[in-house]
Parts: sequence; structure tokens; C-alpha cells
Amino acid sequence: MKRALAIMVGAALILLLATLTLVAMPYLQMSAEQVPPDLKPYTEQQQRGRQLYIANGCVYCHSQQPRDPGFAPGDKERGWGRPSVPGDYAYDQPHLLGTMRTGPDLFNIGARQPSIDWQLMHLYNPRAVIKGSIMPSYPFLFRHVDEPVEGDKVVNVPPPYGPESGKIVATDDALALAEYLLALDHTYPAPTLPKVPAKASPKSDESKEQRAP
Amino acid sequence: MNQHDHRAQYREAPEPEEGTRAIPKIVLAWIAILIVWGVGYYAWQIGKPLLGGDSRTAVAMAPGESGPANSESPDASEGSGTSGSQSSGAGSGSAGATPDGAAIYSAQCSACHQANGQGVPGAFPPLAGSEWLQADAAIPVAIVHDGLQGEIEVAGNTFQGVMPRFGGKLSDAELAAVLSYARSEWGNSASEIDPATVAEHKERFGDRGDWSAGELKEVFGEP
Amino acid sequence: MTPTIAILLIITFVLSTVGLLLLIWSIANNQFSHGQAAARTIFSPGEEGHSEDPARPADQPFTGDTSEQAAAIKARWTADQSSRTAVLTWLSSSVFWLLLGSLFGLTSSIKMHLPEFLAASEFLTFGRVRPVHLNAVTYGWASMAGIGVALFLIPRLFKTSLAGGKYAVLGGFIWNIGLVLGLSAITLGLSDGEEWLEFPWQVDVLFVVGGAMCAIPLLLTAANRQVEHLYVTSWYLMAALVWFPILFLIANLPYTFPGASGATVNWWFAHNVLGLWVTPIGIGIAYYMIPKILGKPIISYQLSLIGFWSLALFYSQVGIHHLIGGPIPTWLVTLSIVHSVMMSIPVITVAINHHGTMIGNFGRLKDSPTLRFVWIGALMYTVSSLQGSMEALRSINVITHFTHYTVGHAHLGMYAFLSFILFGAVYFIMPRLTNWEWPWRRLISLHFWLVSIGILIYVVSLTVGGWKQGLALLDAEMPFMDIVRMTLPALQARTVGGALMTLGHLVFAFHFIAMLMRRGTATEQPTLFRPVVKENAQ
Repeated sequence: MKRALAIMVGAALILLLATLTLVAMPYLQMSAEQVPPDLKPYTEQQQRGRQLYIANGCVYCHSQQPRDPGFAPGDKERGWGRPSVPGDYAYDQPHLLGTMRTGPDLFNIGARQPSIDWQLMHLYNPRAVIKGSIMPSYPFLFRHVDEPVEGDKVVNVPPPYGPESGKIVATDDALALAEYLLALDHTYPAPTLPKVPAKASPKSDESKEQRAP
Repeated sequence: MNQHDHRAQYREAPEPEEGTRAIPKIVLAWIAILIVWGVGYYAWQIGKPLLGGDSRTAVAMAPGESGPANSESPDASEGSGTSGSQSSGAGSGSAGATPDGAAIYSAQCSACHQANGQGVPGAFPPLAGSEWLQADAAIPVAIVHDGLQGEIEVAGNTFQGVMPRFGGKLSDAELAAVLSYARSEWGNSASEIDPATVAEHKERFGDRGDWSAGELKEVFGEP
Repeated sequence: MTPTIAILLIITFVLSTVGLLLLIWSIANNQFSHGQAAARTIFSPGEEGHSEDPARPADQPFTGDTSEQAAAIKARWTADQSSRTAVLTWLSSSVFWLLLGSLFGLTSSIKMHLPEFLAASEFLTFGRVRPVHLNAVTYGWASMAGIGVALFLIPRLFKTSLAGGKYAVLGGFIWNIGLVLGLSAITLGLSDGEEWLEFPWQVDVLFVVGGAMCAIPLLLTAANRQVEHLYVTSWYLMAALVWFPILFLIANLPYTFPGASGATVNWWFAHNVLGLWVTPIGIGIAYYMIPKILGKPIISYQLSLIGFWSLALFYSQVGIHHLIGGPIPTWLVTLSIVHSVMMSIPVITVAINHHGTMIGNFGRLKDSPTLRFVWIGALMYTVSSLQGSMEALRSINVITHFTHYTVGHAHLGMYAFLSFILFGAVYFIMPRLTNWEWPWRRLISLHFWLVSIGILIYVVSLTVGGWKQGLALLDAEMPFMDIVRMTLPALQARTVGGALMTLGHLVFAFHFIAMLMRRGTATEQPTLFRPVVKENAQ
């Protein structure tokens, strides 16, 4: 080849074609897809917790995207929930789908571990509640006080994980992160998932209609 | 020209160029195979659902597998034995089978109360030797079904925390199975609980909020 | 909507394959006249068949005595002098970022099996150390070294002086400022939150500007070029420098793509950084270094053409295989899977060209550090790319997705392929810029063996451990914590491998600095793996 300009223009055009198919078209399709009616936007506190999730890189070990049981049965059988649909992420900016499962999927962690006490203690030191966990502890999200004052959220960390004297108190950051985790509850039905044929289970479909107004 | 200064440039081979060997037939054959394969792979995907995500199948919403969603309202528990079985993570969801209490415990309870039932000192009460768990069946059913909040004394220690409600997450049968399991493990020896007890509880209290230790004592008496 | 998508989908595939078939047809009909005559103008008379390796007496006939040969040497020397400041700026910076990046990589590896290691500080928590590692080695080491080598090759390929080298120097400073700000932002918790795109978009502007500064000398030098025929390396370099700014700009457009479509843009970008930025740079360098060291031409111009254009056509659309099984339309995932498998076309053609040229010359790997690093890198390109095509198949991906297996694969590509080629190129370039030979051949050996054994342990342990992890994750009977425990040996082995690689980088950096400071004794002979000076003594 002898023409530098032709190479560069050709390369750019091919990339533009790829941009059309991999950026523009998916955006058009997915932004038009129905948002599940039961999906709630994040509260201000949850959004703040989400920023902490980003800042501390939770996404490098935790995914938020259960796969279809027909494709990867383990995801649902582990209790990670139904397969996710684009609409589930309507309020997610940026997305936090994740690509690693060094830790479990968190798409439904709020439903699986609904106790904020558990969430806080697990953040303070995961090994206090799960033996052998390799998740880092996040002591910097907590304060060590001699005597908690009114309104402090005390985390009763058992020995040997807690301090010898005084109390561990959750900061606003820790509470926000825990509230975000509790908000990760996508146990509502997803309207865009394929339905089973009506005659296969008429009773089930009927009750589904009642439930999803 | 000072040879020493240019020695690296001097000793090296000329700027590279390309030979003119023809494209091997096998490469052309491989390209042809891939194109045929590509067309076939696309064709194989024809008719797959376009919405919902990659590789979504109708299995996802098969009866009894829509997870906690179908037990959002209390009346959904009529499908007991199947509804919400997925949320238990027990993988035991086939209709009619008795739910596996141990599996439900492992998925739903062990994070806080631990696999050995000892709880976490100061934070989560033990179930082993718990007077509340082994009391009259109505009390543990009430706690697990509706949740519990506030100070409570268990096996001689005081705890301050929140027990979430599982009424919307577990079916009657699952709730009974997991309680029966906990009441007979780790040295506990209380009677099994029947799904009917859970149904009775629901009939009596409806969709009630958290209990407190005081309320439990008031309604059911001392454990 | 549905029929529209189906039609567009078909059009995309058809366009790509028709493009490829047209190319094959035109090659078959000699539309791209290779122009042996044109090629001869690159070749200085008498140079053909000459070899870099002075240890081989057979390669001595080229004496540089004739005026034409002297002119060729002079031209190379002029080209190298013109790019000297710019290349040294980018290469020195890249070595610094390599050291920093590998220390952070080692730290995050240790944290994976010793979770309390440095956990008390929020600035050193795993979730910040890991992205600092990734961004430092990708944008600091790989990109800066790649641009540095490209700046060295451009004037040589175009047989002229580098025009506008000062823009590249300035670009290097801007790029470094971007790295300092971006990595600090991640450490402070100000990440943008998407993998490979963690730098805040305000900082990303610096990379676009810094990169554009390097495009200026490329365009000026191309306009001044003294050769008609463009060698294959220059195609890859030109394309990479066109692709990167477009990609980086679109992917970082702030607040444009929400939710799941943000994920498609994220992975479209992340894979294109590999496929359309560092891969063409790596392949281009190998295309230069292998025939350069061997003193024989690359075997097939026709294969070069297919390899280059099919890389462009297919690699640009593979990114969504990172989201197989995710909340992304099936048609889109399928498109990426098909194109991932079609990627074996450029990989195989490039492999035939690289390894076919090597045939009969493998003995040279014993001597030449550049050839050994570059050829192993080229071989690992073949291996990791074919592995990548396999991983894109749904049946394999269902196991490997979300596991440490993919981390092993990523390092096979970014390290065993790309970094090895960059190491080899640095060993080639530095003597020509500093007019000094590498001081200690044993340090090159030590560097080679440390990083080779290190990456071998790294990739093997994570590949085996990750595969087992993937199988276990599919089986809900196995409790999650048991899987975590099962992967621990692999994670510990990874730390061993990573530590060896980091040690190797310390050796390399030390040697690099010694080279800049002209330590060791002056010699007329190149520093090779074997002490050839005596054999060659006159």
C-alpha cells in the first residue's frame, strides 16, 4: 500500500461502522426497553453509598448481573435472583455490572442479607461473620469511640475482631454504603423477560397477573 | 563518517520489506469455513428473544421459579412448597417436594446466626440453646415471619438488633422446614413445626410489622 | 424495531465479510501491486541477506564501503537522531510507570489472599490499588512505551527525519501529568467507576491532547516521506494512532450512556484498547523487529494485507463478548461472538508471517535479546488471541466468565505478548539513541528469566485455578466459601509469579538507567545473551 491517507481514512471508517453497531444501536434499543414498574430510584443516601461502592472498587470482585438459569444454572440456584434485564439498570450511572466473582453476585444482596447490622459488621471485618472470607475489611468507614453518644449507630463487633475497649460506631459513609447494599433488591418481576406459554401453567400465569398490576 | 558513532546503525540489517509468497490455500479454506460457520451461528440465533438480555429463556419465569416476586403479597403463599423456593437458594423448588430446611438455613440464616448456630457474640443471638426458638411453636414462627426489633435476652446475654421478616420471602412450608431444622440441631430438641402453624399465625396476625421482646411475652407468654 | 435490528445486524456481518473477500479478490488479481522495484528502493544495494548478528562470520560481507551503503547507514543515523529526544522522553516515562504499576499489581495480588494487608488505609484498599495498577501499566507503561517505539520507527519507516518531534515531547509531558492526576484521583476515591475508564473524564482530556500531539509528527513525517511503498509496520502504527483518540473520546463522553448501554460502551472501549491500540502497536513492532534482526524479508505481503484489514474489520466489534449472559440484547452478543471467532483470520495470517519468517533461524534466539523477547511476544500473541476466540464461545465463556481465568488471559495478552515485544524493542532502540551498548549482558539474561518464569507461573496458576473456579460456580451444590478456599493456592502462586516479574522490572529499570548514564565499559560490539566478542575478535 502506498497511500497513508487511504489507510487512515479506511481505518477510521471501519471504526465508525463498529461504533454504529456496538454503541449507537444498543443504546437506541436498550434505552427504549421498558423499565420494570417496581424498580425504585435511589435515594440520596443510597446514591452516596453507590459512590462509595465505586470509590472503593467493590466492582472488581462483585458482579451485579445474574445470568439465565437456562444458560448458567448456578447463578439462580445460589439465590442470586432472576436474570437481570436492561431496565433493571435504568437508574445506574455509571453501570456496575462487574466482571469478577471473587465474591458473590450482589444484584439481590439487599434481599439476601436484609439486616443492616450484618452489613455493617461485614464491612467492618468480613471475617467476623464469614470465616475464611478474603474480602478486605473497611475500618476507615468506622469510628472507634470510648462512649457512643445519642444517635450513634453502634456495631457490636465480637472479639477478636473488635477493639479491646470502647465501641465501634458506623460513619455516615458506612451507613450510606450499607443502605445502598440493602437497596440492591431486584426481586420484583421483570416485564421484558420471556414468558412461558400460557397453556403450560395457566394457574401460575393467572396469579402473576394479579401480582403485577 | 565516524564509524564508531554509527556502529549500531552500521551493523544492523536493512529496513525490513515483504516477500511475495501467495496466500496459502489452507488460509483461504479456513476463511471460507469461518464465513459458513458465522452465517450458521447467526441463523441458529434466529427466533431467540430480543428483549431481556443475552440467552434469556422462558425457564426464567416458569411456575414457582419467579422467586420472591410472587410472594410480595401475603396471599401468594397458597402456592406453598414452590413459591419463593428460589429465594432460599436451596435449589429444592420442584412442586410438592418437602423443602430442605438445612439448605434454607444455610442460604438465609447462617450469615448471621452462623452455620454452627452459635451466632456472633454481642451482635447476633445464638440459636443453639435459645429459649425463644425452643419455646411454643407460635413464638419462633412469629419472629421469623414478621421480624423482631429491640433489646432481647437470649441464653443469658442481651442483644440489640434487627431480625428481618421472612414472611414475604419464604413459603409456609419453607418457613416451617427451616424452623424445624433449627429446633433439632446443635443440641436443640424442640418439636417439629407444621406448615399449618404458619398458616394459623398468618390468619391471626395478618400483615403485621416487627415484634419486640416485650410484645412477644405479652401475646404468647414467657418463653 | 426488531426487523430493523435484524437487517442492520446482517448488514454489519455482510459488510465485514464482503470487505475481506474483496481484499482477497484484489490481491489475487494483483490490484495491490507489491512493486518489487519500490521495495528495492528501501533496500540499499548489497544489504540484502545481511544480518544484525556479528557473531556469524557469514554475515560479514556488508562493509558499508560503497557510497550507497554509507548513505543508507547515514540515513538511519539521521532518522534516529531526529527522534532521539522524543523517544527517550516517552520510553523513560514508561519505565517509571512500569515500576509503579507492577508494585501496585503485586500489592493487590497479596491483598487477594491476605485481606488484612494494608487494609487500614482507605487510599490503599484493594479496590483502589487494583485500578491504579491497571491504569498505570496500560496508559503508563504499555501506551507510553508503545508510542515511544512508534516515534522511533516512524522516521525509519519513512526514510526521513522526524518532523515536529517537539510536539511529541510536549505530548509526553501532558500525558505524564494526566497519569499523575488520574492515578491520584483513583487513590482519592474519585474514580469514574468503569473498568479501563477509571480516570475522571476531566483528566481524560489530557490524554486526548497528549495523544494528538504525537499524531502531529506522524502526519508531518508521513507527508515528508522519502519512500513510496509503505511497510506493513507503518499501517499498524498509523491506524492505531487514528483509532485511539476516537475510542477514548467516545467512551469517555460524560453522562451520555446510562445503565446497561453504558456497559456495552464500556466493554466496546475496553476491548478496543487492546484490539485497536496496543495490539496493532505490538504487531507492528514485531513486523519490524523480526525481519530487521534476521536480515530477511517478511515472507508474504499478501498475508500482511489480509492480516491488517481483517484485524480492522473484525477486532473492532468483539468487545461485547465481555457481557455474554448479561442484560444485553442477544443479537449484540452474538455479533461480538462471531467476530471474535473471525479474529482467528488476522491472528493466523500474522502468525504465518511472523513465525514463517523465523523458520530456519530459531538458533538466533540464543543470541539476540531483541529477537528472543519479540518472537516470544509474537508467539504469545498467537496463543492469547486464539485463546480469546475460544473464550468468546458461549459454551466456554459460561465457565470462564467472572473467574480468575480471564485475569490470566489478560496478562497473557498484555504482558507475555505486548510487554515482551516492548522489552525487545527497548533493547534494540537504546543503543541507537545513546550511542552506547547495554552494560551488562547478564542483567538482560536475568531480566528475561525473571519475567518469563514469573509470567509462566502467573498464567498457569490462574488458568488452572480459574477454570476450576468457573466449574464450581456453576454447581450450586458447592458452597461459595469452599470455592474461595479452593482458589487460594492459585492466588498465592500468582503473587509468586508477580513478585518475580516485579523483580525483573527492577533489573530492567536499573539497567535502563545505567544505559542512560553510560555505565559499564565502552565496546564496539552489541550486548547479546552469549559473550560473542571473543569469537568475533579479529
